[in-house]
Amino acid sequence: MLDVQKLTKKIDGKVIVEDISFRLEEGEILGFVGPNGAGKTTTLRMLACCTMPASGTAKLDGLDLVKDDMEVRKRIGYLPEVPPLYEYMKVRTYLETVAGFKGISKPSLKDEVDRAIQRCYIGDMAKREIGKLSKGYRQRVGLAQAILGSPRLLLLDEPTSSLDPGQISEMRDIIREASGNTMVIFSTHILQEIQNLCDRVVLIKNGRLKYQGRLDQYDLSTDGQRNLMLKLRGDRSEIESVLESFNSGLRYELEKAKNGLPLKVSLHFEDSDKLQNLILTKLLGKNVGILEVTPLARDLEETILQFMRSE
Amino acid sequence: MLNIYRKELFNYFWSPIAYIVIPVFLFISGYFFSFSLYYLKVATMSNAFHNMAILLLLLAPVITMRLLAEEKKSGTLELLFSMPVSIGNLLLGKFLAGITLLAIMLLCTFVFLIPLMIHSEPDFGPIWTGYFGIFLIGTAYIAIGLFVSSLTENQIVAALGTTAILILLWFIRYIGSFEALQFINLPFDFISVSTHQGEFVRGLINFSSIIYLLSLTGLFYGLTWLRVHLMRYG
Repeated sequence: MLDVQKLTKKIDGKVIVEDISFRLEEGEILGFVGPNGAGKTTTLRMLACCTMPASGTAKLDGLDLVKDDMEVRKRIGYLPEVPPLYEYMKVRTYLETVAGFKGISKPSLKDEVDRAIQRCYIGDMAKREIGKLSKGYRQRVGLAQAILGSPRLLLLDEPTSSLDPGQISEMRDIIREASGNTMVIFSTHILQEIQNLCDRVVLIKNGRLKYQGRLDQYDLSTDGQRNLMLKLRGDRSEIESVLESFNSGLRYELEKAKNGLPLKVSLHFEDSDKLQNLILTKLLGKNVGILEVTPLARDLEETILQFMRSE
Repeated sequence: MLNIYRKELFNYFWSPIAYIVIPVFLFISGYFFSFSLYYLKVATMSNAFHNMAILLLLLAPVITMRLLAEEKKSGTLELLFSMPVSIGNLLLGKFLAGITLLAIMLLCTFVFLIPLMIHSEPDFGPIWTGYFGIFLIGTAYIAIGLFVSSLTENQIVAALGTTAILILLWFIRYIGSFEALQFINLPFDFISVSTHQGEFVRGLINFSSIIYLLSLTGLFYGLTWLRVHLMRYG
């Protein structure tokens, strides 16, 4: 388990990351989302022991990031945004070298390298010089070095940035396979990655954690708006008059009536139980049948964009 | 440490560095040695050692310029920082790889001894002390170069910066001879590397020279350690 508590980083006196806290369980994939300069990379660098926090703690399986940094390093795999490659080496030589750095012992070194090559689908490139590889393959080699030694925590900084859609899809599969018993944290701007890969997300902005949890619950809990979808049976004009009576306090979209089917209406209003009860009571008072009330998740892209733009 | 050492040696011999530095060192020092032996009729290695030390002012920076600067620029230092590799092992591997290339360069100059033995009966005392001295000087040069390489991402800047420090350390003894600068009360003769090189060539193993050169190596190696420590833990 990874337990991060109030992690803070200052550079030249300026706070880059402040009081970031979250937990990660075995096999979980956590997405780090936020605009550029939010502090995603700095947080990942701290967790990768590349830089030390000014305050706060992070414990990986009970090992402290600062006090037991050498032990923690043995348990992590890290892929920075630009894959850290020795361009002059052949792929296999590079992976063997990194395996040596990781302290993987000679007897298991070859098997570990073979496994990483196989899992990242770079077998046909194993004897090629890294400097001559395409961007997609370089990214895979970077990921292969990160998963060497089956780390407990895999940290991936925008692993799919600048890849084409086909490569992104392949990379996504590799990450999903790599997760297994490993905890994965990856930062990304790409919404599809979050939807397809993440169990949970951490939204960071201006160095502060703004939200953590399931992304489809984000808009219900944090933006001060309540969005409901109602299925109603009753007179359309009566329903409209009730909803109009709330003036600007309520936005709604009413579907066109279809023969015999209930009316669907989307409501957007201030996040208040009192207001919700009032709306529903008024509808019932006009003999409108309320068949279904469902929280309405907004479009994910809209949710994230709103988060990125908000103060 | 061995993994870092192997990687650095691999890089020297994969890249053109070893294939440029070793032949250039051999060719130029060989030219001056031949000139001394066949033209000046001086059957000793003293001129050769002096020229080697001067050549190293220019070639040692080429050996060291990429040691840390390249890792910083390519982002692989970040990789090393995330690995269970201590700073001590990281620097020692790099330092020893540089020393190994230096040793190979010096070993290659052993061929100079063949014509020397053919044409004379050389006194091997000053030859061995001369080699010992040039090795110690080269070691200090590598430590200085390693430090400068830790300060920048640019290999050219690292090479030029190292050369500037090495030239200053070589010629600093002459500062004392400028009347205008005599108010600076420093032992310029002792600080100057060229002074100590002269002692070794004369066949003297001066304890203070050994201590000075080892201290110079230790000082810059320590500064490099501090610099990298601040980068990793700062």
